[in-house]
Amino acid sequence: MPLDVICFALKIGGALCVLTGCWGMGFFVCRGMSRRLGALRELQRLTLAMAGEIRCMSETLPVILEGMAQRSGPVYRDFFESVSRSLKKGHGQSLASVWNAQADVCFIGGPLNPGDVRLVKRLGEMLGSHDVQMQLSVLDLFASDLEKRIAGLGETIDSQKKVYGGLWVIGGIFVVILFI
Amino acid sequence: MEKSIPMDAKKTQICRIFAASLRPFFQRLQCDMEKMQEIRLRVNSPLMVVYDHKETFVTWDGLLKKDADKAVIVSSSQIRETMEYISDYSLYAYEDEIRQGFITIQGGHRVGIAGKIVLEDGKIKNIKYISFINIRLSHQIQGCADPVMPLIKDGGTVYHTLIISPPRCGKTTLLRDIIRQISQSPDGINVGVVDERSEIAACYMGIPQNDVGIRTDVLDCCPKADGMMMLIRSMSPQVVAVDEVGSRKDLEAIEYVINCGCKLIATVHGSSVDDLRSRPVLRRLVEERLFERYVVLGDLSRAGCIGAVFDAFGCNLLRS
Repeated sequence: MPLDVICFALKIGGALCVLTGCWGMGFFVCRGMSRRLGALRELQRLTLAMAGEIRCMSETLPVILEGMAQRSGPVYRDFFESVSRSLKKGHGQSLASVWNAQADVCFIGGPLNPGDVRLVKRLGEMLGSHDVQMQLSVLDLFASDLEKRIAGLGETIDSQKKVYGGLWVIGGIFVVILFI
Repeated sequence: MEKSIPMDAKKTQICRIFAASLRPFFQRLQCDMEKMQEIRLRVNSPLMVVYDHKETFVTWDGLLKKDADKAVIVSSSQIRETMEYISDYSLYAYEDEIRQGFITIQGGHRVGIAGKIVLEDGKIKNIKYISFINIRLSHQIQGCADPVMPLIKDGGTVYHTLIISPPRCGKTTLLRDIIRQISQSPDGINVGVVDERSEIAACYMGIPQNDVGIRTDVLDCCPKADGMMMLIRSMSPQVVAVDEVGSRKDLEAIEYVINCGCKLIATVHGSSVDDLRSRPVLRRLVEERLFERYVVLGDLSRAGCIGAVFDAFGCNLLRS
């Protein structure tokens, strides 16, 4: 087989690899966005459940968080479980410090972005307040913040997916052209 | 014979509710927790305990001393932190209890609180700036009802009984042991307890922290009058027990219970049967002879010390 043909075949193969890799990266980024949207929606659902437990049952936070851990998916299960466990142990740490420490540990590498984690941490600082009404207002505020984030992400997710996916593919084509 | 309940975990249980910086002082204390009656935290004041009926101070080296010179001074942040642990990080969940001025915690211990009252339409809505905490340690004295049991229970029959006592003489302790003994008796008597202030069974998350017997159903934190009627309809008890009756509504509920064929055991603040006669609401109870036994307590130094037991006609059964 002539050398030209072999070189051409290698170039085509390399180009296909680069393009597939870039498409894969685009897909990965888009999937991350979908996962974040799903995680925020789950958190919103859990917040509503938490408000219900407080309004109707006047349950304490360690009990509520334990229940939430059982009901939640893999994104939040460890977080709620470890916060609840730490609070029940009663080692003399404040709720905010336990909540923040566990948020730092459990949300690493998860679908939530740093802004979302900050929002979750802010909730921890406002839980356990003096009366039910105030506690429900805190949860309402948190839910409305989540709603804004979900709405913003929901509106732009399709176009962003197209843009990011397209950009990675275009980037791949650009690299292929450069090499060829 | 009286026996106190072994409570090995009591110290740990108590330590857990204090701010982290106060815990070491309690952990170092070498004392009999059974003799510890009260722990008082007041902002910018010495940490105080009532031990064996005497007021003492907790010092920096974890000792109990009579003078307050070396006593640990409690700060407002320590009280705030303590409240966080007392309420399981959930003050909102104890809104109703805080409004009444106390919270019952695991182990049946009662935490009294005081601070600035928040009013709404002239009614207490909440307490803010909580600066004073009084922890009254729960002490069950199993067997303290032994002297009265033969007088208020004859075989399978329980008499309508009213325990009369001034505050802090152990009427709730006595009532609790009466409930336990009736409930545990081989006669198989079901007891319904309306525990309006969680003092009798001291339920924590629905679980009685005090031993109230195997046939006892507890309606926790429920208004007495409503609770008595609810219990009769729902749990069909043979004996209903309530603490501190006194209002007109309570009297109606008592009549309802008695007319339903249930036996009633109740407590009331007072010093004697004559004292009850002087009160408009309670007079009727005595005059109509609704109760068949009156147990009068009156020794401040010993919880549940029985002064006299009268029948409906005023005859002292203890003497006879």
